[in-house]
Amino acid sequence: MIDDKIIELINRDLDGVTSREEHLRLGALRASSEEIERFYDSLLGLSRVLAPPELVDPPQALKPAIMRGLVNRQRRHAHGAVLEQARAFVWRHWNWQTGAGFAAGLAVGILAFAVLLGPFRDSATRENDVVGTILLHSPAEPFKEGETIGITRGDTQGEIKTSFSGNMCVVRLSLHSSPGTRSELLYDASAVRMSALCPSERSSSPIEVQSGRIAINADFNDTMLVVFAVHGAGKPALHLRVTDAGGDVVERSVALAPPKGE
Amino acid sequence: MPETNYSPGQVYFEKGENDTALVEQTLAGDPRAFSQLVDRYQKAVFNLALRMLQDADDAEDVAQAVFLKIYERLAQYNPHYRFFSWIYRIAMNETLNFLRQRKPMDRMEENTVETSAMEDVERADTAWQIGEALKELSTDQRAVVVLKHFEGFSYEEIATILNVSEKKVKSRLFSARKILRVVLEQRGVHAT
Repeated sequence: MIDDKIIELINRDLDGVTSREEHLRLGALRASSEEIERFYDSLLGLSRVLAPPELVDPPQALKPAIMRGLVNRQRRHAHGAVLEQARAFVWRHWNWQTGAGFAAGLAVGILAFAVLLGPFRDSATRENDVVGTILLHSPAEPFKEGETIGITRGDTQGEIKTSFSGNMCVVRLSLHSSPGTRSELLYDASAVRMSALCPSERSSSPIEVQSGRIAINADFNDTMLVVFAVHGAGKPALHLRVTDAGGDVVERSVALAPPKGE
Repeated sequence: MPETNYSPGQVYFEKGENDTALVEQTLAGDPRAFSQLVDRYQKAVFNLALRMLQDADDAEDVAQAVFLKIYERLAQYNPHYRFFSWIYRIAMNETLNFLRQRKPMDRMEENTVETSAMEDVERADTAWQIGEALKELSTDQRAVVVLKHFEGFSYEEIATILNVSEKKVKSRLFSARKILRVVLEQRGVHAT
């Protein structure tokens, strides 16, 4: 059995890192022991077997793949850098004044939204461009047709159609009138509540909305949907009055509740 | 004979001063400088990976990853150290990581690189037997054998590349040789 220190000495000698004294000592040990000599020879042989093999040329595709990977990486970093710069800019300029300004702006925005579109809608407002879409999608009960009343007088022509689902009544008003015409829809606000009013997107007539009264202050050559929620007893009605420029008046009434038995 | 920063092995490196200049140019945004570094070291990195992995496709993948990592970490390179040692360290770490993630090695003769040694059947057989014998070693042992015998690094350089003590390098190397001696003898490879 060869001592570990001798094994290390042999290894180091084969690696060429022994001192002259160590080399001489190993020579003496090899001469005195056949086992050490054999071990030395076997390791020497191993070192020869493990001689560096010839270098292999890398595949030609290697370098293009590396450079391609680099370009992709730079693109990703460029994208990330823009976000980082934006974040850094915000943090660099962020202080209590900007924070307070931002909060104040947000509060003003919320207030403006509440005033324009919130609970103050029932008061008299002038809306030059009321646009929107009523989505009557999958109502609890299918809509049933109500009345259809035609309007024909002078330059004013059109119709009023109603349809009902539960306590909801949708009034569709189509009207073609001459310039200077004023149309009014009057209803009993204690019996019905106007839930939504939706002129078509093309309409630009000024509309005045008050509790129990919707007034269109110009010619109305378009279609408008008005949705009412009926909560009162009896048979509430919607009264249409159209006054043209010459003072001629057309009036029609339509029931806002379905006929009995429906 | 031209002056090199590396003597005993077969890998020939030019003097390191140029490397530092190329690193600086790359960091300044010149992609051609990095292209030159790739030209200079792709063979060494690929062969290191090939000897460790014994598979050409894997070696190519690892070499590609190594150069991307080199590019990412270029700003961390300390010019007081030799550039090729730094590259070898990254390459060896990447290779060892790959080996740890890879399933136990199958023999993939079809993927091993056909060297010019294939012309000599005996030499090719010995080379193949050595490759197989290397698989019997742990990855740590294989790393020191490759770096010492195939790349010709000193104990100190291997310690730097593997980030371990010289004592550990010797210990792993001597144990590896002990195993290889037995395995190669069993495989009928006798050194003369």
